[in-house]
Amino acid sequence: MLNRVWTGAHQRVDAAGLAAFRIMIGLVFALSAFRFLANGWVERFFVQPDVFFSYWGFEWVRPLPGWAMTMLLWAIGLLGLMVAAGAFYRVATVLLFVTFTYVELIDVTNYLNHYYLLSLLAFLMAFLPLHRYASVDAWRRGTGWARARLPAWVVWLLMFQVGTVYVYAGLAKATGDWLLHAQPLNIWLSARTDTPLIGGLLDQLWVAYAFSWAGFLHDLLIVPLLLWRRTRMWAYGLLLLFHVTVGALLNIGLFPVIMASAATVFLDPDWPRRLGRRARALVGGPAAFEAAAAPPEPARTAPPRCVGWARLGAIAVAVWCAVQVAMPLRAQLYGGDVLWHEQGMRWSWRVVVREKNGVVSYRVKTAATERERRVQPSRYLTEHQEREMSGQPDLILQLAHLIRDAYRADGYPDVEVRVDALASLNGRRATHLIDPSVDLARVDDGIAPAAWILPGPTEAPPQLRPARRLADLAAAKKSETPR
Amino acid sequence: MKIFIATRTLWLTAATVGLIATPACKDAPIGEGANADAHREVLASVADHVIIPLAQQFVASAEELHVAVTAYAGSPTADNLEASRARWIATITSWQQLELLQVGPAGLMGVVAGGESLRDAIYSWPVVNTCRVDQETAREGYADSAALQIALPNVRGLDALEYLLFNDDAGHTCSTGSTFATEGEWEAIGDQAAVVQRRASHAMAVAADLLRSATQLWQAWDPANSGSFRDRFANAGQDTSVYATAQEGLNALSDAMFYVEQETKDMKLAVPAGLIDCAADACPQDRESLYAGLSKEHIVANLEGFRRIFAGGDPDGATVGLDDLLESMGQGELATRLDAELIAAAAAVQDLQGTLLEAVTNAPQSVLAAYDVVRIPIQTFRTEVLSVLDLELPQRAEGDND
Repeated sequence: MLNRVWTGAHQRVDAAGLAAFRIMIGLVFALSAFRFLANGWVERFFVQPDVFFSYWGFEWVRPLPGWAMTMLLWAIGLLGLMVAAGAFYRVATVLLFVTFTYVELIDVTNYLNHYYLLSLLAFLMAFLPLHRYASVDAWRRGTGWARARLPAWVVWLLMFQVGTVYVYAGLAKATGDWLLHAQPLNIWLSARTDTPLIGGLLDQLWVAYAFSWAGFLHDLLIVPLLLWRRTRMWAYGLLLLFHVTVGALLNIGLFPVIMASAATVFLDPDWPRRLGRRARALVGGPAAFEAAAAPPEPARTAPPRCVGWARLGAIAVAVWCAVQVAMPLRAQLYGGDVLWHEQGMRWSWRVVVREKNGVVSYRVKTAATERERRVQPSRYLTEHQEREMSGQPDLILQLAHLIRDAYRADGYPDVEVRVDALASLNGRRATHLIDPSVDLARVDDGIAPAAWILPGPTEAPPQLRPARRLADLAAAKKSETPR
Repeated sequence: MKIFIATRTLWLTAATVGLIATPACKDAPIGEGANADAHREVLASVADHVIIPLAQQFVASAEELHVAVTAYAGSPTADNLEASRARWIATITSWQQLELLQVGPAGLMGVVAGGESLRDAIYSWPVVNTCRVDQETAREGYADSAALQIALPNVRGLDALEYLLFNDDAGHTCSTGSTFATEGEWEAIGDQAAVVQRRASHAMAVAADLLRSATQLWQAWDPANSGSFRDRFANAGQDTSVYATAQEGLNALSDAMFYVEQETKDMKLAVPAGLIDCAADACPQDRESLYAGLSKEHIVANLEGFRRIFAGGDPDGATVGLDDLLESMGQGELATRLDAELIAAAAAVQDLQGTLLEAVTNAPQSVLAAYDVVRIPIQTFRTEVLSVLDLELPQRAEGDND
């Protein structure tokens, strides 16, 4: 069995699809960086904040001065373009991974699943020979170095990485809120009735159910449908429709573009050639398409022996895959509702599955005073940071420690910090997220289950009806009011 | 053939969607849903039953204030001073409900859609600077009405007028080491009577400027005027509006309502009570109304204003507000609970003994207890109402989600 896998993994496949993948992902990196700059997000996310939330173990990561962050974003954009062009690809992918990941690690409140995916892809691409075809490097180094076919394991590894996102995003939707109560989609869609053409449907509960189940089934089944050759093209069309719809209705930035680009790895490896041929047949074009129709190199070659570097590489790939499978599953170890306590929430592909709004107010007491004082997060945080922090217990704890340290620096060594943190999950009644009696100044952050986080609400989330004419409702209320 | 079938399917789908969506269409963009209409109903009601009546009342008050202060400047007697003070109280009371409604022309230019920064010209608290007011009094800078119109907000508006009308101290408030103090500009005014006269004259100029700003605000909202902001507000999501969608219009209203969180709850109540940003046990010197002693009343007015906006006008009447929107969407319990919380919050502050200064000084625990009651409806609004209506927090840095 392992021998067959090993042999299959080293069969050569057309490199055109992988080159297209490299070009698209490189362009997505560039687009992300230039969009970041154009939106003024360097200033908002890295210059305006006075404090930054750290990832556990990455407390040493700090932002550069504003001008340097701007230069860094320009560099990321340029590196993305270099990767797309396949120019000095190895150096460019390594630098892209380091710089992009550094930017992501600066502040947890900027965490996005699709940024995490881009970091992972950059890391993988640094090891993969995606520049051997249709690249500046291939042109520079000549035909002896260039390859029109690449080992199948390269495609498999990328398929696995992209497939993991979909499968876990699907599993994350297998909750009562999502499937039985159509939340949070019912909330989100009800607020988007301005949408042209379909807006009139979006406040209907059945539409929220339809979208919820469609999203669940799409994420869960799209990988097998893409893997099965007979359904592949239809599945990719469905995937495009899904991402276009989600992108149009929800504010999820480049996520649809990234996924639609990344999912091309599931298409037949020669899809760019086929597309080229069809385009030529339809509108005409250079005969070069015909010349490039079939790579001259043989598809079947003898696989290398599984020893030395080859064995080490295989083990590294296996470990990588195991980590990718295990990472999202860690949330199960904590029990309870991960959307509430958020332990194991990040890096687990729980993409757009919750509507959570919180309000946080710290109570600080020192030995010198009897009275508790209030400290509002806005004293330290930007609006963006405060909003993100207010639903995430580990960030609430981090800010408590920052307040503790500030008081200690001011000469109050015995400071106690408690918090009134209420949150509403998927429209439920707001309840305490953190035990208000616990002194957070004495709580250490870590990966153990957090006893200071209170259990989440158990009641079902509300379901919204379409609003009816309010004037009628108000008039009816008035007529009911006793005179 | 395949292309033909695909094209036909596409058109059939579009036509079906169009047909289903048609009943929801009125004058709104094609295919809009009932919720967008309901949002516009709320905005129209807030405009017609809250903003426009308050703006009209405010401009009338400002006019009476101007008359009273003009009489006082002409003859600075105790009676005229009392009459001016009474008119100022009436004017600020009507303003404190409008204060929450920093949407459109009242809002900050460049930050709020349709903003013309009129609010700052009318009332700039907490940006106040009595020393700058003293300097203008001494230098008679107020005499040039054109210059006053473009002066910094901290020497104009109701806050400057409060200082000019309610401050009985004939001295100035600049630091003793300042050039203004060392060069004796204040003393050059003359004796106490001269100071009173000068302040009265200054107050008259500020009252005239205030009337101008109040009129400007009223005209901006007056539905009789073509291009009235009323229509641009109430028709959110339609061609004439500054809001691209009805949801965006509703979010602008919600942004304005958050005034009660940072300004009312924190700055007006928690800071004087010593709960936040105060090194001492209490910071009554940081209360809002330092000279007229109306800090407590302002907080109550803000909370009542919030309730009025939430109800779209009369909380006990038939006007259409966010409460009806919530009820219509099946969230009547939330609407009723929030209304009760708002009533309790206003009552908790109203029940404080004496002025806010007296309560903070004599019964600090009662102020802390009132704070705990005041924050409840704000928490409910920030968490549950925002969730259910999918509203964004104010001035949130636009970013992506996933």
